[in-house]
Amino acid sequence: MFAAVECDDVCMTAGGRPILRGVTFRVEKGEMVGVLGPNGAGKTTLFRAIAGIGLPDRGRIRVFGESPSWRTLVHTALMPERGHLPKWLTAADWLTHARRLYPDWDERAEKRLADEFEIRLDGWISKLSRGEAVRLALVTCLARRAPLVLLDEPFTGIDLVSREAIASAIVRECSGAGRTVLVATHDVREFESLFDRVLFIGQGRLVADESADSIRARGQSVAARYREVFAK
Amino acid sequence: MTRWSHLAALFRFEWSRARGKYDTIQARWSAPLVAAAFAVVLAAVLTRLESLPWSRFPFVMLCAWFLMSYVTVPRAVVSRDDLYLFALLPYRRRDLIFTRMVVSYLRVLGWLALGALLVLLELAVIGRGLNPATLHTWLAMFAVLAIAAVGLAAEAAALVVLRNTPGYRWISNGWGTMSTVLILLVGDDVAARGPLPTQHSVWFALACIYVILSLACEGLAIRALTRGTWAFGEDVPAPRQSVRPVALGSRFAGAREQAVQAGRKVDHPGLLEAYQAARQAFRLAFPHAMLSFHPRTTNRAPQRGILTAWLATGIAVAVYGWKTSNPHAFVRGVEAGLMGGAWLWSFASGAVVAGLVGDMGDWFRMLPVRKDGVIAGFGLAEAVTMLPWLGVGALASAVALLHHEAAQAACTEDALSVLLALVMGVAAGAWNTMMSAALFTAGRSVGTGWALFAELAVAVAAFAEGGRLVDAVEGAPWPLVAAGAMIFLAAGTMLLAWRLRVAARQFISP
Amino acid sequence: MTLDPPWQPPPWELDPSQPLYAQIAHRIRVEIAALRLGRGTRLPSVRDLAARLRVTPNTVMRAYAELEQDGLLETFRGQGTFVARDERLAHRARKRIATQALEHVRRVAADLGMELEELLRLGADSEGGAEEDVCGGGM
Repeated sequence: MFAAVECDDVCMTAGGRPILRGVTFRVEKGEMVGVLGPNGAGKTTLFRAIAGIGLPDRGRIRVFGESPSWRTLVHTALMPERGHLPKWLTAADWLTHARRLYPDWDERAEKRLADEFEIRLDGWISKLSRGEAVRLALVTCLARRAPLVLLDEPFTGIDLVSREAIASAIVRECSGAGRTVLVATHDVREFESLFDRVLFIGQGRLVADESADSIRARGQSVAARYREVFAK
Repeated sequence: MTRWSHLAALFRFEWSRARGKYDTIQARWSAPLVAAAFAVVLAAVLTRLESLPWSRFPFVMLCAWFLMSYVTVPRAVVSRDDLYLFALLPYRRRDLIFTRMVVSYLRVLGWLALGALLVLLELAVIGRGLNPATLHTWLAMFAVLAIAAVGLAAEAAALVVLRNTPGYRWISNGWGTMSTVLILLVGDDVAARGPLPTQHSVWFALACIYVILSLACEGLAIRALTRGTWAFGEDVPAPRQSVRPVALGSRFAGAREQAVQAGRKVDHPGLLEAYQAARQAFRLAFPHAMLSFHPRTTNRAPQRGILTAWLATGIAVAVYGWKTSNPHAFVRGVEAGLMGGAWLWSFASGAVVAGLVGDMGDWFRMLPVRKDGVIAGFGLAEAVTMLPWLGVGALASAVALLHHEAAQAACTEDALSVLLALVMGVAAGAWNTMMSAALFTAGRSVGTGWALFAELAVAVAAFAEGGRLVDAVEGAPWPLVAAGAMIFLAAGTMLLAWRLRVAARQFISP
Repeated sequence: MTLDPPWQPPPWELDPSQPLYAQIAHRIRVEIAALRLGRGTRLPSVRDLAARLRVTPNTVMRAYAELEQDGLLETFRGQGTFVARDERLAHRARKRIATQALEHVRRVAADLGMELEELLRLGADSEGGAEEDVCGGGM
């Protein structure tokens, strides 16, 4: 049985600067994993590598046993940090395109999510606020039946109430199908309950890989542990 | 079946991207109209430069129109964001790039057909029919351009990726230059030799080579997209300079203190004192703005395809100069090109400055000095970018002229008049940069549309009659020239000061 | 057979520095022991409860599994999770919670060097006159 994501000594450089330096971990199917670390730790680069839109310089990545490429993108839904939505369309137009573009699109999930997130369908994407853009990007990711979901900073720039709605939606959409979810964030406090396991990444290295409950069993919250890991 | 339906979906998506977002009919048609104007101007300039019969004007214009498709068609909506979006789609990288190419090709072809239609319309207007020989040339030329369009489309699909890939960036610059020069050469050939139906094989060969090389570029782009190296551009701290508002603010901090001190000296708010305080603030703001903006104007050159512009201009001017049979007309043409070019370049520079001011937004509004001074300073610093470009043009013309014996005799005289044209162009350009910066900063209004029109009109006039103007200035007695210069300077300064003030006020409280 | 809509828990605030599954299991156990959750009541699905509490499905599954092991919950494939039909288990849980609480209080009394009755009396007194007796107000 393959792990959902398997990284073995992954190294990546960008423009001569090392971004990831020997990252090794394994995420089992159905796990919800938080990839936590300060800005510039290499979380985005790691996600790109897992999604197959960037090849590592060294090391090995496997997604459900396959090496990442456009083929694994078929069952990987990545929500990039800054939306990256088609600015020349309206939300409704984009969802129509997405329905045809993604082979695993679930139209009922789309309707449900669009309703829940109160997406303004007739609005130009270029005119959306940060929160609206994130919600639309989430609809794009979660309306797919992709078994691996990668969310890069889904909570930045969003007010508390919307954050809670988003967190609920992520849990609901991902639990039924037994999806594997990785969430990269530096926003630990409000969402630590969303993770079964947390990977702490700092300066391109995996600093700690712990189950959330083992941290809590020591009477520590994940946020406190985060502070402990990165305060040094 | 599914594969085809997904490719169809990809095609429709890319088509929607290439169409772009237009709110109004006017927005959709403004690009072709401006391009048509430019094609006419460019064709007129080329025809004049080469002293060709006007009957060949339509051919040259079609080439120029095709050249415009470079700007208007495939590169209309290209951004790294869009590229990211495409890279995330679960499709073969090859399919992504080829779909882009197909869409670009269809659009270039559409553009070409529109150009052909315009030229036919023009022929009908001036009352010239198509005889069989001309028709044959027409078809041959259309076929050549249609083949070359494959190259252009491949290039358009590939260059976005290459431009964003650190290792391949030079290709996108070099390639842009090469293809521009190639089309210019074809245009030149058509113009010079006219409708000779037997001699098109060279064009076909050139077009085919262009296509093959472009496809090679596309291969590189697919590779870059697969490897994902394109995505790292934004992670690396790019050397692109943008003025950091905070640093700028601290730079202005000294200016504020001095201004406050200057203000303290004039406790009575009389008119003269107010004027002096304002002048003091302006005097402080202006050089600071210029200095702070200067690194940005000098450092970004290789990044924005400016290098391409330099090379394309240099090579084009050198080629025409080398081939010309009338050096004097060529010198006149170069003079006109210098003046018109300076004018157009400075107009674009003004838009750049306004863009920067817009980006700074509230940081700009909070600067504790006179804002019109800052805009003027930024404008003057940005105007520096015009110098290397004009310099390359002037230098290339000098190199080309050395080749002509007839020109060597009048060497000094020609060099002096080119220099004069350069000085006049730079002076006018510097003024125009500040002026257009003020116009663009003031925001969109009916006035901006008219200003755009006036700018274009001046550019066309400069391109057409710049040479004659330089000759006239050369021939005139110097007191007259000096008096004229003074009058222009005074009027220009007053106009500029007024527009700058309006712009600053509009930007601060729109 | 049509199912009643499942019981909806109030939005509990969970303490992030204690294992979440244990907290959820405890809350449900208390609800059952208090007989607020009658026997045979259907509990929300793992997915719904996880979404409601914003915890991972695995956490809810673990909490349910623990309660099932205690016999308080029963899961029927394809129907859901229910409070056990056998009410004796609820009473047993009730007794156990009470015993645990009492044990805790007894320990506090021992720490203070008091008898249990003395501690209770003191607590009841200070509850009535908390405003006058500032020092006695503390627990």
